[in-house]
Amino acid sequence: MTSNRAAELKALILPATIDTLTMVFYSSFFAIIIGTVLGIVLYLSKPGSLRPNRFLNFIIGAIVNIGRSMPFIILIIIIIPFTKLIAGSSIGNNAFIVSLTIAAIPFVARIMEASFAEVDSGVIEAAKAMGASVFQIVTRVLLPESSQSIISNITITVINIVGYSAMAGTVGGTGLGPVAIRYGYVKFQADTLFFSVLILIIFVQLIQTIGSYASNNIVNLTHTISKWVKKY
Amino acid sequence: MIIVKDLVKIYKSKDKDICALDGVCLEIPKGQIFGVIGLSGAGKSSLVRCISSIEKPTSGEILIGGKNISKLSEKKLRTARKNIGMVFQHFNLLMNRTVFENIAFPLEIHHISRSEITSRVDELLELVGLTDKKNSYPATLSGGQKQRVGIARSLAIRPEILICDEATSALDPLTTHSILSLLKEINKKIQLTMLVITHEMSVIKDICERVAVMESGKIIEEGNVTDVFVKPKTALAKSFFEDKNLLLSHDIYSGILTGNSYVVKVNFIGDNSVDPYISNAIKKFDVDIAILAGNIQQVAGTIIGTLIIEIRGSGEKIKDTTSYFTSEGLLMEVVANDI
Ligand SMILES: Nc1ncnc2c1ncn2[C@@H]1O[C@H](COP(=O)(O)OP(=O)(O)OP(=O)(O)O)[C@@H](O)[C@H]1O
Ligand SMILES: [Mg+2]
Repeated sequence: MTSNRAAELKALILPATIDTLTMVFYSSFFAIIIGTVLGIVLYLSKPGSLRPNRFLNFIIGAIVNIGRSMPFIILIIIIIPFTKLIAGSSIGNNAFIVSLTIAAIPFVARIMEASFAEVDSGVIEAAKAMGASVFQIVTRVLLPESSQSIISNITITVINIVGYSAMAGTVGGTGLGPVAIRYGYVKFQADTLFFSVLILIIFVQLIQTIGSYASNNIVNLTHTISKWVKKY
Repeated sequence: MIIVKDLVKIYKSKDKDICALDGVCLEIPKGQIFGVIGLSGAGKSSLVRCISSIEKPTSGEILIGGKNISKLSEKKLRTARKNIGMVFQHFNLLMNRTVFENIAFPLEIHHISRSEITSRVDELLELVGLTDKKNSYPATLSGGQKQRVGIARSLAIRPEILICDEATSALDPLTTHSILSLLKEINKKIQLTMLVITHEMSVIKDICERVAVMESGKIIEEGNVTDVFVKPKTALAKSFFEDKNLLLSHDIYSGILTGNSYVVKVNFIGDNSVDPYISNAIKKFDVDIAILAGNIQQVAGTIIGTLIIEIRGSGEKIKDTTSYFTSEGLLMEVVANDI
């Protein structure tokens, strides 16, 4: 490989890597926040839970199910008006972040709900008996007690989002996926294809490693952090 | 002080309603340890859940310290719950919190200051003897240690009432004993009113003063533990409290009757238990007395001795003997006779 070609590749792949990173970061961030809130609502509104509400549970449950059963490419098309409203345009990276986020929210909501359901109901009952409010139960029992499972689930979500990010090209977005398709597949540049895919694999590997570590050490991590916060 | 009046709890489900509590009345004075015993499904936990207002009663009243808690708004209820500590069968500790943080949890919930939390938790750790486990996680503790954390946690906000729902049912006998001693010690120390739920007779015997026997949502028998212990009225109470080692079956003793004799069960209670009634009776009434079985135990702090004896002699003499025992205040029950 000539140094010329190396420079060319770098010019192509480096910005694409940054674009992918940015898109994955923002859509994961928003999807996790909104999905967690929905997951909490789903959990609390279940019959027999802390704030049972059949109607709300049914509506959110139905929306989540519809969102999850929709193929990503179709979802992108259906939500175009919404994307335009949020991102200002239906094409480009920002538009794709919106689509990615919307696609991931239902997934996050369900896995969060499942993580919360793993928390021992006796512990919730104990907190309730001690006079904890619903807000306190969510922030001090539900979330901390399911943190290991939440982090494993978030890891899976982010990895899925990395996979989906390869389809940015469909709305004129950029990133490693479009580069791999446009240069590697359409223009037969095997090296471009190879490096784009390699970086994607490294991404996924990294996310998994960090996720597993965080999941196993979350309790110690939060302790260290809270001690550190108290100190300063 | 806990007063429960005509408490009814019906769980409504699709196909049928389950009446878990069917008009329960209770009165537990301040500082008393009150036991509720019953088989699985009797409604014990439902009673606890209503008193601790985790569950809303269908009807009836619950007064705690004179306050009617069945009429409070949710916000006021949360404050009222400060008055009630709960100890659970499965400990219900937060697995991601250390022992210290678990005990601190109710204090945090009620917005107690950091420094106050630290000193209170340290005090409680000492009370339950877990100072060296302060920074351990529940997963690394034994069942008995976990329950000690549960007890410390339940006492953190200084409740006037402590409810233990099967607090020792998941523990081995030795650990059960140490936990019960701890509870009793705490009861003495701070005049805590305690409601103890169990299906084990030994728990009632060891720490309770009064006991209620529950069956299908009703209290079918209630009384001082020693009374219910020596003179259970209902079949269920009998099955809980009768000493299985004494084999009080009529058939067995009928088989060994020697003619002109009575087999009787005599209970010696408290101070009674040391007086020589048997030899007195033999001297006084010229009867023969054979001891068939016997034991002595401590029930609610009182010594209770039980003897199964066969009294032989003429009908007249046997009558004199039994009325002598009764006149001395011994509890007596004829198990079999062939006169
Ligand atoms: N949340 C509920 N919904 C419907 N039925 C319930 C509920 N909780 C309890 N029950 C029913 O009410 C009855 C009393 O149950 P409860 O848990 O109070 O019994 P218990 O005496 O505590 O039994 P155990 O010794 O097994 O703990 C049972 O028939 C049970 O099936
Ligand atoms: Mg129970």
